[in-house]
Amino acid sequence: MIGFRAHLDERTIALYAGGDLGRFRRWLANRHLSRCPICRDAVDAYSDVLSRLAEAPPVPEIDFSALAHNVRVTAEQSLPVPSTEPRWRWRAAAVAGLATAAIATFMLVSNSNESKPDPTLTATAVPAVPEELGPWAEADVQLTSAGSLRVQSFHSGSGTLTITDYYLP
Amino acid sequence: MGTPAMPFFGPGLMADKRQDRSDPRPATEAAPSGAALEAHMRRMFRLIYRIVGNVPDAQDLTQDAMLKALGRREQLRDDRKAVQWLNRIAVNTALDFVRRRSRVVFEEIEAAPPATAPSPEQDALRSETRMWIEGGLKRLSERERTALLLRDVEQMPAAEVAQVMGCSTATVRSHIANARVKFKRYREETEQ
Repeated sequence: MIGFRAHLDERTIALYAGGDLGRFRRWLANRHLSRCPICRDAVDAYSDVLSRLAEAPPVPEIDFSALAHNVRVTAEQSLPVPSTEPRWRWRAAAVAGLATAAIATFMLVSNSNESKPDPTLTATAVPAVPEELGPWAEADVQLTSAGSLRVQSFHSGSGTLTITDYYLP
Repeated sequence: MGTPAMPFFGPGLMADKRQDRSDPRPATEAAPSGAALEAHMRRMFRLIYRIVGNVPDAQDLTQDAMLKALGRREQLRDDRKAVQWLNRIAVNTALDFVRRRSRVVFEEIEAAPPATAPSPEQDALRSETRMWIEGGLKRLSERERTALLLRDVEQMPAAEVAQVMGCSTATVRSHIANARVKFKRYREETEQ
């Protein structure tokens, strides 16, 4: 609406003075300012305000190396190092227990199907919960026999076991 | 499993403990010179100082903000945005502080350690300018004040101010326009 007004509005002038108008609005404002001394004076007044703001006293110099040192020391003391071995033992036990539970479930399913021969079950945990895995690693347990189950993850909070797929011949 | 240390913190700043356990060196030995950390803290201090207006609080808050950033560094997905991310943490920490105190205390000019020793005339001028700006800032809302300080005092581009404040560039322009209009009225009143 700049081009059709008698004068530029206050906010437009404020933005123009600081170079914050978009290209088109700036073009319109320039066109108006070229023939309006009142708005040019208003722009000058805003430019003066901005100059004074830019003259704000400089930020004081402090000892940043000491400040950085404090942060490093505090951070190294306070942040926990995630070498939580007991937690891993607990997780390993949980995965082993889950593997057993999965085998038992699979045996029940297999036994209920009388047309199938007794399956020979073997279980492998892949990977075998290596310690170097991060706490976010997912356990992948596979049961191989006449059929197979794939356990993708175990939620330690709720105890939920997620089986993504299974195969029965 | 060795995730590379995040470059913006500088190689080895606690990453040796937390992320690369194969490194047998003690933390202090593997730690960097801290130049990167210092540079980030310098920039954060600058922003925080502009918002809180005094050195002791700005110093404490810079430390708090950097510790906060270190504690949450897994939230930073893109290292190239580290500066913006740190700036945002710095500004939010300062704004939280100002909200808690619900007022900004500007220290006396003598209390601030000067970058270079100014002459008495410079001192008087700075003091006058500081008081004038302080008076104008009191008339602004918190968002307007932050936008104005970052844009017109720190000369940050509007788009960057928007990133730091977590809003759109259009919103920042609106805050800036309001703030400048109020400041101009303030100037007219004080110079009458």
